[in-house]
Amino acid sequence: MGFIGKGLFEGMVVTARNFVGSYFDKERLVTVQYPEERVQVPENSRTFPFLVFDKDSDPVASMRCVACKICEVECPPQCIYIVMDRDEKGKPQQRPKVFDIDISVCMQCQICVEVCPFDAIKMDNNYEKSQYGRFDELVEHLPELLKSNEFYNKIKPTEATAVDAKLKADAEKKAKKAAPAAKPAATAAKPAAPAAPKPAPVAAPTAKIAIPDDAPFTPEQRQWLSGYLSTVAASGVAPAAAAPVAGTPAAPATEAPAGNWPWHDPGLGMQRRLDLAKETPIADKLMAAMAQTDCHACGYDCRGYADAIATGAETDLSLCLPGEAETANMLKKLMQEAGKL
Amino acid sequence: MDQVYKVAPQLLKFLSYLLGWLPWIGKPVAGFLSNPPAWFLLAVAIAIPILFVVSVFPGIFAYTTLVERKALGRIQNRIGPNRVGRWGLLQPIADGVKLLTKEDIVPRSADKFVHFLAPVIAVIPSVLLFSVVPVGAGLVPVDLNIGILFAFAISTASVLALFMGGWASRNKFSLLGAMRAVAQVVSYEVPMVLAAVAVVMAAGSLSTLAIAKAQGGGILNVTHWFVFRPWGFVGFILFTIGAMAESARTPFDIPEAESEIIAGYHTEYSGFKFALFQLGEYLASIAMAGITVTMFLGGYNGPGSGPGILGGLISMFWFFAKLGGMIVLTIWIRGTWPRVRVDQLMSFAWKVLLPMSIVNIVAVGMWHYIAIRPIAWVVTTLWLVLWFITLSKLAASENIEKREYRYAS
Ligand code: SF4
Ligand code: SF4
Repeated sequence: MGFIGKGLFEGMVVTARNFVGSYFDKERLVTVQYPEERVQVPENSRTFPFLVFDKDSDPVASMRCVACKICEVECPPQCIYIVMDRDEKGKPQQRPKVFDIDISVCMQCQICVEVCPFDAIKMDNNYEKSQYGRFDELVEHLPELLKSNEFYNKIKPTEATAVDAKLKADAEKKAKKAAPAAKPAATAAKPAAPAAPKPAPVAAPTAKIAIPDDAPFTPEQRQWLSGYLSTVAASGVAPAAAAPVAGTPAAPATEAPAGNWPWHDPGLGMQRRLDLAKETPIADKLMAAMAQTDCHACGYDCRGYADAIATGAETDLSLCLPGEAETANMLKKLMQEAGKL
Repeated sequence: MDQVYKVAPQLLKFLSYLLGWLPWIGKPVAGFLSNPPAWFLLAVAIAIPILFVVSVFPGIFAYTTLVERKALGRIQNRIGPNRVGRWGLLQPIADGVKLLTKEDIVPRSADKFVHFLAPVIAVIPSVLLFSVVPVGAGLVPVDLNIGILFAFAISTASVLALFMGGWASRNKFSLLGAMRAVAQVVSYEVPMVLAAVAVVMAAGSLSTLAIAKAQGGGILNVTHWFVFRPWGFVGFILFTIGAMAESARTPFDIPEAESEIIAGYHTEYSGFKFALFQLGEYLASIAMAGITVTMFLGGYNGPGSGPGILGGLISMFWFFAKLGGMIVLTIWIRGTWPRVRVDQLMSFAWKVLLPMSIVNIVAVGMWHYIAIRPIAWVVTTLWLVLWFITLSKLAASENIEKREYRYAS
């Protein structure tokens, strides 16, 4: 048997050992003196999303995001805000002009990363995000969000290597697929990154009227006009009106570039797009029902998916992620109307 | 003070020698200092110890807090403060500035006057305690012939401040803390005084200086320390426990048990009033350590201590070294032991400490009357050990029912 207070002295020995040990044993002294030292965060840790770009020389042009807005739709707390970029003609540029993430709302769930078909958005592991304000200061904009692929490789080597390999394989597959298709169309389908130009459509659309670049219209007016004129031209009413309205000598109206479909604009509503495509073949109508973001979530661009459905090559009508149920239902309806289903 | 009075003329001569070089005022001031009137000598002799106590011990307090935080940190495998100055050496100053600039909050329904007075009163007894602590050979601010009695009387007065603070705050936690403080101090005062009685009997004087002097001599001025006697050893332990309880140090910090009653009696204090409470508490604990050193650890006696300038300096060194040792011991204990429960605290004081201190007084009596030292050693040791075992058994045999935990596993 011990004596009263034996445990007390044993305790004193323990603390004395701690005291002395903390001076000699690095294992004991676990404190990390934060601003001077930092612990290496685990590779799979995550904080907030960032956008990946490929070329240091031009981050904006080489960013992988195509502004398809899937992440915006899927983000549970709705903290992403995207506006698609357009050139001065109002043509969608397949990249965001505005991409904001409110990190005070973001719950770091990584869902945006999982839904992105382009590996364009990834989770960062930078935890030093404190700011001096609660509102605007905590909204991250495109410039802060853009980080290079090297950075991604640095913070998450394993994951990034896998992504790179996958992107490379995809690009090769696409190049192979595009090569035979490109010959009959006689256009150079460039095998490239996801944001590559769309391959020529299989079913040629009816002639479209292009409003020349230097016509004095705002993008909205231009869009409306071109849509209107196309409709008119397609319905055969006043076909001669086209050239005079364009008002320029030898307007290259016949050179309608692939993709000059008036409804091909994610800014328009479903009804408006369908109206624009009212008098067109089924493939165009189907295309008009898509979300028009060319996000490739379905495996095609909007044109390609519509054509594939029209030709019967693709039977799944629910592949358009950004269009969600609205598009899927409309596709079904259109197919039924056309008697193909 | 007497010592200072004796050396004061030389000190003043030295000063006058220094100041004599100054233009204009140098000559008259030097003349005055080299031949001072009696009242001036007395004033100087009074001022020097006061200045010493008021400057040195708060300084020790400031750095005790730093050492405490550092040591507790190391005990818990942390680093402790190291941001302000090298090794955090300026931390006490930063703390002081912080506390000074903090808002002073007085609860609306508090008794404002008493609330204000309590922290002031908390400091005064602690400072007064130092007036009877000899810091070197013959160096005691006031050599009272009832020094020990004075120390006990004064140290008990500090509980008044705690109760005032707790009462005036009009806060249940404050009041609970204050009540605990009163209960604790009153019950630990008894074994503590009885432990001191043993020393007083052995030294034959109540004067702290005389007690310290009685422990001089022997081999290297060490062997006659009271702690190296059977009764002195037991008395030392009893007195240390009592002193810790008296100054509410862990494991007896139930008056301010933060996990139960927030901060006890100073729950409602902020800013510098809080700092004053801390100051009072630490000063009391340092002073009690000083008195423990004086009574049991040979006071200022150590190898080389003695009269004269050199011996005096060495004796001061020994005193402060032992004081530091005691402070480190209390910190070490604070870092190790858990807080006792209120009922354990009380039963420990009345069932173990009190009987043991009475037994100890008997042991001193035996020591005094048995003239042959070896026999006295054997008899007193046996007496104390037997009683200790008996009391341990008694305290441990208290039928503790094994608790059945029905809902917790
Ligand atoms: S899902 Fe990817 S590509 Fe689409 S908007 Fe979000 S980040 Fe950009
Ligand atoms: S991590 Fe989750 S919450 Fe944050 S932006 Fe992505 S989807 Fe939204």
